[in-house]
Amino acid sequence: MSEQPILRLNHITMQFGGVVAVNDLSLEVQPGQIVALIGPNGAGKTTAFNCITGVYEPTNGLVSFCGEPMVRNHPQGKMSKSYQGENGTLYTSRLDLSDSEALAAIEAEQNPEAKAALQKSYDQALEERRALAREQDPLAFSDKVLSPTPDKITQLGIARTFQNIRLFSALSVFDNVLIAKHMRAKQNVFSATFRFNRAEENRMRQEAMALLEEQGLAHLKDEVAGSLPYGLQRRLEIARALATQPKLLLLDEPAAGMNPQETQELTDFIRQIRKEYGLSILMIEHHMDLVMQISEHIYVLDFGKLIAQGTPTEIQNNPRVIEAYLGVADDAEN
Amino acid sequence: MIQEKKSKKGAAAGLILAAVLLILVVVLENLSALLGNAVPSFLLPTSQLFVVLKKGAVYSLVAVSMNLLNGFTGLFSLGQAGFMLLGAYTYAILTVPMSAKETVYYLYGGSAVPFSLPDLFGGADTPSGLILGVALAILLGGCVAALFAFLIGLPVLRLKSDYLAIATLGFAEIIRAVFQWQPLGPITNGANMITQIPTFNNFNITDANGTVILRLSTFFPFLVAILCIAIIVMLINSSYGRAFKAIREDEIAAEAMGINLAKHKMLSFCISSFFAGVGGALFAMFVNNAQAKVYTSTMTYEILLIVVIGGIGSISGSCIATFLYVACSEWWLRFLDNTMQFSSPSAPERTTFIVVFAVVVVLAAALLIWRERRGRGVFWKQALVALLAVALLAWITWFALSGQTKVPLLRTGFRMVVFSVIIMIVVLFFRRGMLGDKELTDILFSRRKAVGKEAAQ
Repeated sequence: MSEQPILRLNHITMQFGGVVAVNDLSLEVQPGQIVALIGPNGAGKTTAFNCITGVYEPTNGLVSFCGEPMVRNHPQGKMSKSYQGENGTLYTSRLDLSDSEALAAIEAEQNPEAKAALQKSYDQALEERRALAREQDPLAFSDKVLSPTPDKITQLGIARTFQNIRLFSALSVFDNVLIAKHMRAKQNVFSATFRFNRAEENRMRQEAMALLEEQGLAHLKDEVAGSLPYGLQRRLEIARALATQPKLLLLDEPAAGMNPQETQELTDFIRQIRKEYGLSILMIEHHMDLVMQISEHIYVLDFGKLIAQGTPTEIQNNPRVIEAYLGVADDAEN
Repeated sequence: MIQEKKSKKGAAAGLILAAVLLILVVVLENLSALLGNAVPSFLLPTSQLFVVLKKGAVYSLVAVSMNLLNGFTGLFSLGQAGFMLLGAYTYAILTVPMSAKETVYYLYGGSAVPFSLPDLFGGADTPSGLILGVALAILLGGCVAALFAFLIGLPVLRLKSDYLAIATLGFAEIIRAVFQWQPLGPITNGANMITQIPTFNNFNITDANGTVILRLSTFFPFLVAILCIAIIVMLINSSYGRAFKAIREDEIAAEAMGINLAKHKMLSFCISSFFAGVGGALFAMFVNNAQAKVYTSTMTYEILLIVVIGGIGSISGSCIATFLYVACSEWWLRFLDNTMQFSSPSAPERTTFIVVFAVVVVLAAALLIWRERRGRGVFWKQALVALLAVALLAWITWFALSGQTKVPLLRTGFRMVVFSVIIMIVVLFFRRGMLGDKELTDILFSRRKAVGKEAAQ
C-alpha cells in the first residue's frame, strides 16, 4: 500500500435505535479508482453514503479523507449501553455489548474480594485490548469526536449526487451550477452585495458556463431545472457536483430509471469525467452491467454488513454474493 | 456574458424607475403649492393620498424584508413586528430632543439617555442635525434589531417551518411586553408613548416665517425605502442571494453544495431584521411616536398578508401589494366602515353603487372561472363561484327593486371582513399571489425574450 487511499472507512457503524443499518463497514477508495458499493435494497448503502457526507453522524467508526481523519465517533451516553455493532471495544474507550456479560458476572458475584479481583482482571483485559487497538490503528483510536456538517465535507472535496434527484428545481440550470461555486468564492456578504469584487463574480460565472459547455448543457442554461427531462436532470446533478471541484465523487444510483442505451452513455460519461477531472468515484448502483463494466473494486453489503469485496470477476464468482444478491439477477443476465 | 447583460439591464430599469418614482412623489406633493387651489382635492397636503404613500413606503420596506426571509430563504418567521418595535424604540429614544425630555418622560423624572442624536449635530431644526441625526438613529435602529435577531437566532434558527414561526412570534410578544415594563421607564417611557421625535414633516423645507416652500415629507420615506430595497435586491442578485434561494429550494442539496446552513440562515435573518428595524424607525416617524402596544402580531399578519398577496419570492410583487393594501385599508375601502344610506330610491349614488357592485361581482366571477379552466374538480369550483355570483346579483336586484335604502352589513370593522374574504380568495385561487415568484421586469421583458428564442432556433 504505497499510495494513501483517498477515502478510507474504518469500522463504520450506524445504529438507529435498535436497528443497525450499517454494521462495521470498512472500505477504501484509491486515488483515480472507480469503486462500487452494491447490495440488495435496504442493505445500508445510502446510509453509508450519508455517514461519509456528514448527513448522519455514524455511531462508531472513522472516515478519513486523503489520510486525514474527517468523521469520527464512538458510542456515547445511552448508546454505549445499547450499542450493537461488532468490534466496538476495539475502537471505543467505552463499554459495548461484548463487555456486558463480563460486567454482569462481576455484578452477580457476592463475595467482595472475588468481585474486586474479577473487576481488576476485567479492567486489565480491557486495557490490553485498547492498547492493541491503538497500536493497530492509531488514527481511529481517539476519543476526539469529529462530526463536520455536510458543507464542510463538500469543501474538503467530496461531492455527491442523490438517489432521488435533488436539484434546485425552480432555479435555472445555470444558477444550479453557479450555486456550487459560492462556497469557494472569495467574497463576503458586503462585497458581494455592493459588487466590490466583480472579477470574482465574473470568474464564478465563467467557470460555471465552461462546466456547462463541457457537459453539453450550455444550450439549456436558462431553462428551469425542474422542467428538464429525467436523463438531463441526472446529468445536471453530476455537473453541479463537479462544480464544487471535488477530488472524490459519490454517485448514488446514477443509472436509476435509465434504459440500457442511456446506461451505456452514462458508463462512458463516468469514465470520461474521471479522466477529465482526475476524480475518484464511489458509487452505489443496481445496474450490474454498469457496475461490472466500470468499477475496479466492488464492495457488497447485505443487511448492513460487508459480505464480500474484490474485482468484478471475483464478485461475480463469489458464492455468498450470488446467494445474497446476484442469484436473482443471474437469470436476467444470460 | 448574457447573464451579466441582463442584470445590467435590470439595474438600469430599476434606477430609472426609482428616479421617476422620487420625482413623481416630490411633484405630486408640491403640486398644490404650485397650482394653488386649482388642484383636485386628493392632491391637497391633508389628503389621504399622502398618508397612503408614506405608510406604503414604510410597509413596502418591511414587506420586502420579510420576503427576503420567507420568500427567498424559505424561513417562515413571524417576528417582523418585534424587530420593527426595536427599530422604532431605538430611533425614538435616540432622537427625543434634549429640551423635550422632561415633558416626554415626566412620569419618570426625565430620561436615562443623556443625549439626543440630532442635538449632537446641531439640533433637529438645522439640516445637518436633522439629516445626520435621523440617519444615524435609523441606522442604529436597524443595528439593534439585527443584534437581537442574532441573539434570538442562535437557538431559534435550528427550528423549521411552523416551529420557527411560533418561536419568532413568541419573541415579538416578549419584546412588546418588555418594552412596556415599568422599571425600564426611564429609557422606554414604560407603556406611554415617546413623542416629540423628528417626523417626516420635519423634512419639509420652510422659509423664515415657517411657511412651507418645498414639501419633502413623502420624499424622505420613499428615498429610504428605495435605498434599502435596492440593497436587498442587490443582495438577492448576488452570490449570497443565490445561496439563500438554494436553501429555500432544498436544504439538504444546498448543504451538499457546500453552503453553510447555519451561517446563511443567520445572515438572512439578521439582514431581514435590520431592514425591519429600519422600517420600524420609519414607522415611528410616520405615526409621530413610538409605543409598544402598536407593534402587535396583527401588524406582522398585515405584512404577511401583503407578502402573500404580492407573491412569495417577488420583490416588485411585495411593493405593489403594499400600496394596494395600504390604499385599500386607509383610503379606498374606508366606505365599508360607514353605514351607507341613500336618501331617496332615485339617488344617483344608489344607481352607481348598484352598477359598480354588479360589475365587480360579475368580473370577479368571470376572472375566477377563467383562471381555473383545467384540472380535476374544476367544475365544482366554477359552479360554486357562479352560484355565489348569482346570489350576490340576486341580492342587488332585490336591493334595487325593494328600494331599501340602507346597504346592509356596512359597519365599523366590515373593511377587515372584506380583507379576510380577499385573502381567502387569493389563497384558494391565486395561491402564488399577484406575481408569483416573478418580478415585474420578467413579465415586461418576457415577450421580447420569447421572440428572441424563436429567432435563435
